[in-house]
Amino acid sequence: MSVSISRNGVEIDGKVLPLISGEAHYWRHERKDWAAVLDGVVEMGFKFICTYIPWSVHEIEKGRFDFGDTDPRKDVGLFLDMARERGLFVLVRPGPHINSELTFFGYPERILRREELLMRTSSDTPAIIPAPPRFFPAPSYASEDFYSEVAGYFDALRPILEPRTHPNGPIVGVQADNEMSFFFRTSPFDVDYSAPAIGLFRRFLRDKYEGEIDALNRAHRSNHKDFDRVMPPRRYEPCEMSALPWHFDWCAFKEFYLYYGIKRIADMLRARGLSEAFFFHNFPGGQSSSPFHIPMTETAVDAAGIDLYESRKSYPLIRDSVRLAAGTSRLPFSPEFGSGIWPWWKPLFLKDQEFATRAALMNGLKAVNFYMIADRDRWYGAPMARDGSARPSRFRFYANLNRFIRDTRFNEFSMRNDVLLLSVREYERFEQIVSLAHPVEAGLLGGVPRDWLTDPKPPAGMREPVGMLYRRQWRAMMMGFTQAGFPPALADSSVDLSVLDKFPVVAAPSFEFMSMALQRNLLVYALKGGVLVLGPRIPVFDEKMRRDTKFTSHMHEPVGYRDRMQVGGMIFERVDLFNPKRPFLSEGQDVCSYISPTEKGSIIHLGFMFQDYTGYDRSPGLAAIMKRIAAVAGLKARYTSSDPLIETALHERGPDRLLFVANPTGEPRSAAVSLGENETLSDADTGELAAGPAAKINLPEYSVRIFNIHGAAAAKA
Amino acid sequence: MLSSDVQIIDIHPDHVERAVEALTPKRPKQRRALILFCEENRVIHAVDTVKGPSDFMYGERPPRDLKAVAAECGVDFVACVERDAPARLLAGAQSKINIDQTLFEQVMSLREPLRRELGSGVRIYPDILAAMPRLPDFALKILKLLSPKNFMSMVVVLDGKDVWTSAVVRITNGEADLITTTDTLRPGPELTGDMARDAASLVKAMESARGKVALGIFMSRAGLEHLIAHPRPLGALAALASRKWIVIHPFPRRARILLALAPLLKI
Repeated sequence: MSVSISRNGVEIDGKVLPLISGEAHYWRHERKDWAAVLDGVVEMGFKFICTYIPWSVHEIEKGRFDFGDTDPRKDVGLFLDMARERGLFVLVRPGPHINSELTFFGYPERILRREELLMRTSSDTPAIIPAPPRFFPAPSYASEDFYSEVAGYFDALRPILEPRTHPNGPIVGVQADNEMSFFFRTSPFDVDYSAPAIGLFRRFLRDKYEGEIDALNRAHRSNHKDFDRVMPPRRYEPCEMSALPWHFDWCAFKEFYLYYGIKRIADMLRARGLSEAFFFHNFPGGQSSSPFHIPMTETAVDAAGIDLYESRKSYPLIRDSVRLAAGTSRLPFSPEFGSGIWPWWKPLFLKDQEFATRAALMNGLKAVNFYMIADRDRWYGAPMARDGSARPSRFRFYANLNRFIRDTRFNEFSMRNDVLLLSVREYERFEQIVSLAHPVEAGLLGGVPRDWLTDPKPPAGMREPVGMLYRRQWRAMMMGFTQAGFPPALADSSVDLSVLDKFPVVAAPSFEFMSMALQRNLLVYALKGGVLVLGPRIPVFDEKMRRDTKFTSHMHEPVGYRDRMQVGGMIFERVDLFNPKRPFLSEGQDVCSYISPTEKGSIIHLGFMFQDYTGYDRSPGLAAIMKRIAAVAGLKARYTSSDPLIETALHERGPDRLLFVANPTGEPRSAAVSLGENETLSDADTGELAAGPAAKINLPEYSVRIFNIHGAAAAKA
Repeated sequence: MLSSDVQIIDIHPDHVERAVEALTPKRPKQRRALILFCEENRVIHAVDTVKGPSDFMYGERPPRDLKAVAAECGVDFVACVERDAPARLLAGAQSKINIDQTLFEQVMSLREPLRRELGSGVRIYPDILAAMPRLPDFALKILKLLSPKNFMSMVVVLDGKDVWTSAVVRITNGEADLITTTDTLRPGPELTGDMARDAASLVKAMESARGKVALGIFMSRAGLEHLIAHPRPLGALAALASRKWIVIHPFPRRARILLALAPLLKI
């Protein structure tokens, strides 16, 4: 009798179920309406239901709790029993951070009145969370006293949750805390500068440098007597490149801080009888990778997912967030996926929910908790009203979705990607360090790309403003491969080498510095037979800014430089020129890119910056370059669209194939999708047929159509 | 402002969607801004929010005349931001906010640090605060005088025999503690298409569900569109009410006075 997760869902006693869930909050419904809500969940075809269990709702005063004795709506035990009676499995989220639009995010007010439990900002003020209906100071997850308080709450929950955990009860999943993100304040020099956090930073450094203060001093170019005297940076001062490791260590610590909090909470819950369940966490979506760290977090919990509340106008964000989770996590999971919205956020309507859901499935989402499944206080737009009655059009959408997933066994399909594009953690850290939006998280500033808001002056000794250039190169690679018909998988650069090995092509923007671990992984990948794409620079420094490279024997020294250069109708910038044996891109005698063979594979060095592509641009030139790169790996694009703004994604399960075709733009489009010999498409919703070799497909604005692929090629596979 | 235990329940999503669509301009103009980051009295970075970063004025003294910069660059807004100003602004606000304040007081805590920075650490063209529509002081005083501390009001837009959109707000001690729609009436009253009769039955149903309604405003979709398009909606409301195109029920004395004063208040 056990619960575990795999890429296809949750395995419960040997049977794998797709993890498709809906969230309902028992305490926000009248007790008499619980049955209707749960019956509706079952009727829509869900097998899982998820709920928070908020501390502030159950705690009457310190040490006294109401679990239904006084207020029947707080009888969480009964709610779980009623879920089980209906055959539902339950995911519980006991916090202590809840958010869920509760005043003070579910922390009892008394906790927030204890100054010693609170975060401090770099300006030494409390870290105020501006969340209606009352702003409040954030607690510190470095504070031992805070964990002691949390332990009291978890102790009180134990008699209710432990006996109801699988195999004795319906609880199969537990979320450790919620949206751990310094309460969305992810700018590196904003929080947490409380005394416990600084103490934890020193402990982190002591572990990292194995107690050797000299090693730290060498890395930080400092002169500390012991670890207890090291202070964190409070802002970025334009500095020597050699001073960056101090800042990088602070960024790495902030990633560790989140991991530490999640692990502490998970371990506390496991120790209270919930260890049979699988554990997960949810990072807020739409922000930069650092301080989030899915691979590290998945050493503390089984799965780390991302929350998404996106409208139909946010396709690139949905695509990139989901693909990053799909390429990095054990289970591509969105523990909160907007089905409705809270009243003080931008509205999210049914047409948004339909598009966002299909777009997420298209890009690799395998597990989802629709948040919310029934309207409640401070929430609207769910498929059921607060009393459990259906909101018909929304109810129908989720019922049909569950039917589609069940009938196709969609959870067993995998998205086909031949190219992997890496999000390089050290560059994303650097981008945050040099942000001019400090202390505001640049991603919150209304759609302006965060790299645009970085300091254009590089630290002394560094050739280029990497913070300003990294994401621009990444965007061009992403767009180029997509429009070339090779929609890339995305992954965090800290994934294992084994992840890279699955792809014929791996691309990563690269600059003068790169961590030794990543350099090693990339080189080994290329030596073993992969086609590795780097540029604009080949790294010559490690993460400590020491001159060190793994690529010495595979790179060419530049023999010239141009600010701008036109190649095949495209304008490149910051162009290095080479004199290689195997040129890849050139204009006349000027070679700006070359192929360097490795033992079994090759490295393609693009020695220039692409132009900045931020919107829905068309660039046949960019796509042509990426096609040539794919050809080096022997790849041929399939199911490409005649309109480069129409995206396609192929999902496979043995011989079965599904093709997603998306129009992410605000106008209707039609495109011819190239099919294999004798292949035809049938619309999974309507049954409408489209024949090859160039199947004409009409797509309304902001729409995703799903097709079954029939025919010779499918059968052959 | 919101009470700390405000209930926002039974918000019908279709009501929100219709209201949002009615209130959103059909073709919103894309606004462009130029942000100039400065440090030690020098421009260190320029970002056009549509075109991207540039080296505009790099290394020069920050411009004094932002209006001229806006004209030169063809942007709608120019912001000149000292590198540490956002940190100072946030620190100033955060040191003043506590959980015993009302939401209004918390929001107002931003005012003083903002005033300190505007014109020095942060300069913006056009002056957004000055450009914001402001009611004359006497109008504010009258509005305050006529706004009770405790009341519940409902606004309903009808489309034949259906409620097209609605909003119900209850104010207790000057703060909203209940926000809902007619979706909270389950089952709602049967509507007839006669606005006056439907207003009476909706008010009656709301009173039995949520307590006394002090003010109810009922109109057709055409009425709503007229009000939205009108530069002085309160005056337009008074005019439509006098022609019986809008039903106000209940119509308390304070509201009658307010509508009578609408032309004078210029709102």
